[in-house]
Amino acid sequence: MNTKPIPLFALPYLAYAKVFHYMDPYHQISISLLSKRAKAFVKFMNNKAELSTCQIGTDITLIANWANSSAIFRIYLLPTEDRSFLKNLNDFEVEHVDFQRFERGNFEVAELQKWKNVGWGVKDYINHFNDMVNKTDGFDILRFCDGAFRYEAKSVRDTVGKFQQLTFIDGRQGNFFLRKVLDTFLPVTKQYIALQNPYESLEVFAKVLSQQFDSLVVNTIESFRCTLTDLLGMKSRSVVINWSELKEMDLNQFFKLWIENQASKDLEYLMLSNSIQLTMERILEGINYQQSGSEEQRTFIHSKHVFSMGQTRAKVNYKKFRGGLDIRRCDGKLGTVHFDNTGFRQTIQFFVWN
Amino acid sequence: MSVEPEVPIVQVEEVRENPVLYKIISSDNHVFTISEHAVKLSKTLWDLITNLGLTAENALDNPIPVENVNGKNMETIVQFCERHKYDEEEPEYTNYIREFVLPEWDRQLLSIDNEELFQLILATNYLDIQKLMDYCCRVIGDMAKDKTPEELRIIYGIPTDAEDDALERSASDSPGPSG
Repeated sequence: MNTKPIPLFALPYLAYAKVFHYMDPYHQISISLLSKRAKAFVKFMNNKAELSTCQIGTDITLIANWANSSAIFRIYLLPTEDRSFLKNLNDFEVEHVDFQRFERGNFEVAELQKWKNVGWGVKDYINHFNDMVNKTDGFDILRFCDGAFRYEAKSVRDTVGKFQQLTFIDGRQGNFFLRKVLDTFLPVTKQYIALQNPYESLEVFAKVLSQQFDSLVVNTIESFRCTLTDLLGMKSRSVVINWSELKEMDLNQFFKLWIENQASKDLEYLMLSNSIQLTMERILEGINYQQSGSEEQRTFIHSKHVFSMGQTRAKVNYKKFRGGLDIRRCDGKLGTVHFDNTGFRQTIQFFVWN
Repeated sequence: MSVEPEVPIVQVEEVRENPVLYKIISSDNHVFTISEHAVKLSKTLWDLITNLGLTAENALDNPIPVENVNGKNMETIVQFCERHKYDEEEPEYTNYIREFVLPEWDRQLLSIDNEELFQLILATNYLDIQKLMDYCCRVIGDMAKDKTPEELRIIYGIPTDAEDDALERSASDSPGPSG
């Protein structure tokens, strides 16, 4: 029945704007490849992704998440004869691109297109992607995966452009690569998430801990023996260390110094997943605190730049918990210590309220 | 002016509480009868009725000529408006894709040739029928599913950059109103 085309741009503006409105962003992006005019219109529709990710691994993956769907560019790079490490990312030729659509809550690919490369480099795809998902301020997440060590870190920075969160998906990149990435990205990085072995290079690990991020999340491969000195040296607003070994006395000293306003003045959130069971009474020994009802649900909202994402599709900037022990700093600032012993490890959270 | 209908007048359901009916004449002189609740879905028609001062007493004696819409499209439009005349008002747009399932009855109504659908959208735009416009555009938007970019180019008749440039050149070369 439907034999002839519907000339989209010959429709009244109101009509073709609505047609685009009802399309999945995935289809809008497909159409954006067809002409400059189509691209300009898709950009004008301003269908801003809630979350965008650039994943650097053996191949390059660009992910955009909206409320109901996700679109993924998987850029496959041609292997080069030059086997040397630290090649410029933009020197790799693009072999082809898989473009995938996912529906909310479903991990099966809903649609897949295979595009032959038309002479574009990685940077061209990234620029087009950012334009179409209206992320003019760059990616939310830059994630390094297995295989990323073969790119020169500076070329990754130049190709990818701006981003908010730096994430390492596994710890196999090695310390040389980590060090290069830190040296290259640190001045611009707001958030840092890494899986690493602290004892492979304590120097690199200490450097990470002492940086002033908005948010720092370190998932350690081996339990990290965190001392009072480590705690006092952390300058990030939000710190999460998954798998630490902390002694009660160190934490007790830390809270006492915090109350005296001599420690971590800018800290707003600390979470330690501890492999040793600590007793609340010894941590809070000599500290005045007020216990909040365990049934009372409380919502902690982070400051502007701190957010978590993990497996979720959108930024989350709050945490909900029940009860807790309130302590007060000498300048009147309220902090809440919260213990959770229900999981495999004991979780200690410290919230500093605005 | 007396007009002989070429197609049967569309029968509308009698509504006891509101029996006001209006007559509409399409560009090819087909006559349609439409109830007051249904005609209100078209902002253009309802404005016209209000401006002309048509009332329950004189409505059927004063058919409304609609020169931009032919009988075929008008028939679809009248059917649609009668079907949806008692629908509740839809909430306003959000920035996200509006989640609605196109009712089966409407999907059937709009299962027409692309060219007819194109003409129906032009008619709907002229008559300013928001809901029908949404439904038509949803049908067109859904055509993108499972298509490659090149298939999308064909379905939506999207010109290449070279074709767009050529069109632009010919538009700028053509003489203006004075020339």
